[in-house]
Amino acid sequence: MHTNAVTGGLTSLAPAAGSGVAIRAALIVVLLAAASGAWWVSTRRAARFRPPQRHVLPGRPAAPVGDLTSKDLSHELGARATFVQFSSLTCATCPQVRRVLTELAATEPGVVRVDIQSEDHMDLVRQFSVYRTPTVLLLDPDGVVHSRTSGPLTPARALAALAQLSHATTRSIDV
Amino acid sequence: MSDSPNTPNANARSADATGGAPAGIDPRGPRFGAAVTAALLAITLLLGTGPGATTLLTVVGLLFILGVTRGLQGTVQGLAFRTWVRPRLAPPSELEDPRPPRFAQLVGLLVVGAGLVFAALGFPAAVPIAAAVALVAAFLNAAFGLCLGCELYLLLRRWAPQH
Repeated sequence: MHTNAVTGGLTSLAPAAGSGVAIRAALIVVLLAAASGAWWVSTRRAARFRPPQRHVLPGRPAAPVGDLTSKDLSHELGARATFVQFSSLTCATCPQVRRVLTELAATEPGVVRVDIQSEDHMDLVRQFSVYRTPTVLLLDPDGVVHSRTSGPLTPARALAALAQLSHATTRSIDV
Repeated sequence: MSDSPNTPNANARSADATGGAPAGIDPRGPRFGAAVTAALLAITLLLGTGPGATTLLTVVGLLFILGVTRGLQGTVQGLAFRTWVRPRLAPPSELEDPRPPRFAQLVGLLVVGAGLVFAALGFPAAVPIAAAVALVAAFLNAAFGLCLGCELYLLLRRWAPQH
């Protein structure tokens, strides 16, 4: 009798406990799927070259933030384009991006690649709103920031950004 | 998952780039450690609330303390990686600065520690909440190599006073 009651109690408890774990497991799967989705979306967004956003903060001078001189960079600007890569010690993706841009600078005439160690140039990091490394700024021949990207970089995306910049410069010369 | 081909001089170059920084570590070590941490946190979540979940979260917190005080190589996961995992892998194509992941361990410790403190104060739901937050970070690190704590590192350096 007693054993019956105990086993009866246990069997009625077991499904409840089991379903509790199942619900939690489902919640974990949903949580991790949501995290993966957020990661995927933010990575795709960051990987595209996009125009720089010019925030004018109250109390800050509204001076254009988009210019870099060869003095800032300690390097000559490219006649066609300059890729400025912000790297840091904390950055696992930077060497991959460095390889892509070095290859591009070697094969495309007039294209220069400059590496900036973020820790040593926090003024530029703040001025150009760099929040993560690697961040790459694409400069036109005058040193104006045309577009930017962050995170891993493929040669195709870098080439596409370069083509877009060349198109934009040619058009503005026509006008 | 590997995003870069092997280059023969990668190690020498990262040593040059880091200057006075500590020697680089295999970046797969922190990812393996994050996978272990994520598994422990997932079990914590499965246990719900109660002494079992609290105990397991405390264990995770202790592992984070090891990571903060001794660096990732000094953790139990680091030892397991060196003993059982790394001998089976090819040499790393890049080395990584050990300080950012160590900083990320501190972020993890703060999250888990806050959960345990609130649980002790009478909010048992704090255990699964802290475990869920830490699980997302550990999972993203293990699965995609994204180190949320490392991203915070550059943000904090931006806000640190200029010297």
